[in-house]
Amino acid sequence: MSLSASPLFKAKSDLRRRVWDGVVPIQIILAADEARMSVDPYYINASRISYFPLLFPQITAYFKPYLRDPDSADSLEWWLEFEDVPLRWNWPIGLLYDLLTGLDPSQSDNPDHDWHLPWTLVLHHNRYPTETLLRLRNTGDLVENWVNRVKEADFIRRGNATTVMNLSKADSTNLWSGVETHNYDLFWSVAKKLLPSETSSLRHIPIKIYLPSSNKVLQTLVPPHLSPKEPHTVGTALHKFLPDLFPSRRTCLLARPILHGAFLGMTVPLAELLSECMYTDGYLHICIVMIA
Amino acid sequence: MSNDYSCSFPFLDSHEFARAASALIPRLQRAGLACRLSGPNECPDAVEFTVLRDTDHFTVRTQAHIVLSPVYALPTLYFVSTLTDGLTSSTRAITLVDELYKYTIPHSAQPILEHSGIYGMSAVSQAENPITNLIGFYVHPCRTGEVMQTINQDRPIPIDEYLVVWFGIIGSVLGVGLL
Repeated sequence: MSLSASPLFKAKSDLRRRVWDGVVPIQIILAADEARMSVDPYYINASRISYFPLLFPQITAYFKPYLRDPDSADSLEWWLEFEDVPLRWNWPIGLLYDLLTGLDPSQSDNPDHDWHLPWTLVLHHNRYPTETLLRLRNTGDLVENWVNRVKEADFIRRGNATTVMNLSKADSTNLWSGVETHNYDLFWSVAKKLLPSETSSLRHIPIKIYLPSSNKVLQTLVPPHLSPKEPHTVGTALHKFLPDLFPSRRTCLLARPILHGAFLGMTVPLAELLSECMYTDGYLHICIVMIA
Repeated sequence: MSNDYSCSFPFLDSHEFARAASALIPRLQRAGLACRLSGPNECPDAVEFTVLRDTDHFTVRTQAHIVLSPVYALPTLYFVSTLTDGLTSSTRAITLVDELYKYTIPHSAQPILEHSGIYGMSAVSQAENPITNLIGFYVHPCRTGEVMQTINQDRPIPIDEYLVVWFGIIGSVLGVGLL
């Protein structure tokens, strides 16, 4: 079946656009040991599909006059912390928010629920946690890490990474540029060339599943079909790879999957989900939240 | 069903990897390396081993994992190197590739690590270990897969020998080899 003829996503570009436009309101507080005097927090609506290092320059520029060491504002190697947990700068912002705050959309009617909005983070420069954070000497480190995942996703989709490797210089530049400048048309003008137009040429779905609390990230090869007539859905895949948490293929009994801050329907076919809702690196980064 | 040869060489599934890993352990032990299998008993998913390098001025301790890449279905080496200064005894993790070449990776291993593929990047780079989630370095597995393929064409490699052959290629990155 051709992805573009899928009845599930009539407003195809609408869903991709909505994923692209998602934001998390963030409040950044300068760590006390970095500041020589008190300063108001920095507020920003951060794109869910973007990365924190792209925001660091404007954040450090704002705090520069208040830093004990103003020259450190020129460095990119800052780090953010939420409730004592350093944020992995190479993970998309939306994923970090959903995972670290234990986002649970089922609580939307609960007036007492803490959504952690704006999401309050503490900004540090000292004591860079090298055990849990990759080095970030310059934007090149971010690009290299992102490109490796783009290559992986291509390999997973097709069984080889030649489509990505054979992108023209202009295309590969534009793909990253689209992320860096948050330009939807620029990014998708190249990204659409990377996605197979037929599910028959899709070998596996690039997917990572983030388990709550345990820090465990599950990654395994998931084909688009269970059998020639039956697509792998969110539910059939979760049941296969996490049977203890997902004993049913259609109903969430113990836990729920979250993508881009929303519950994922268990019956959604993975191939179409990939086409419409993938992150910029080509992966579906899915969080699991336990049912309260 | 037991087949002594991988059906999709050089790629391995988790059972083939577990089998190859079990066969590697005695060879690592014979080479004098502290090592063990880790993961579920029925299907171990990693080989852990430690390499120590002692000089007059510093000691480098490298903690390594051999795991099956969930992306490339090839064994992949992840490692963390810590450097202890001989004079001050202060210890820190090595976090830059340049330092790796200074302290951990011998010159003889450079041909294995020449630049590969897209954007001209190095074959050794920082990464999150998929099992521990901690930061270390890894050797990108694709090129090793190609080398294994070439060797296999000369003489088919049974699963039990897969990681032994593989280690003969990759172990040199950490300055170790099997006897």
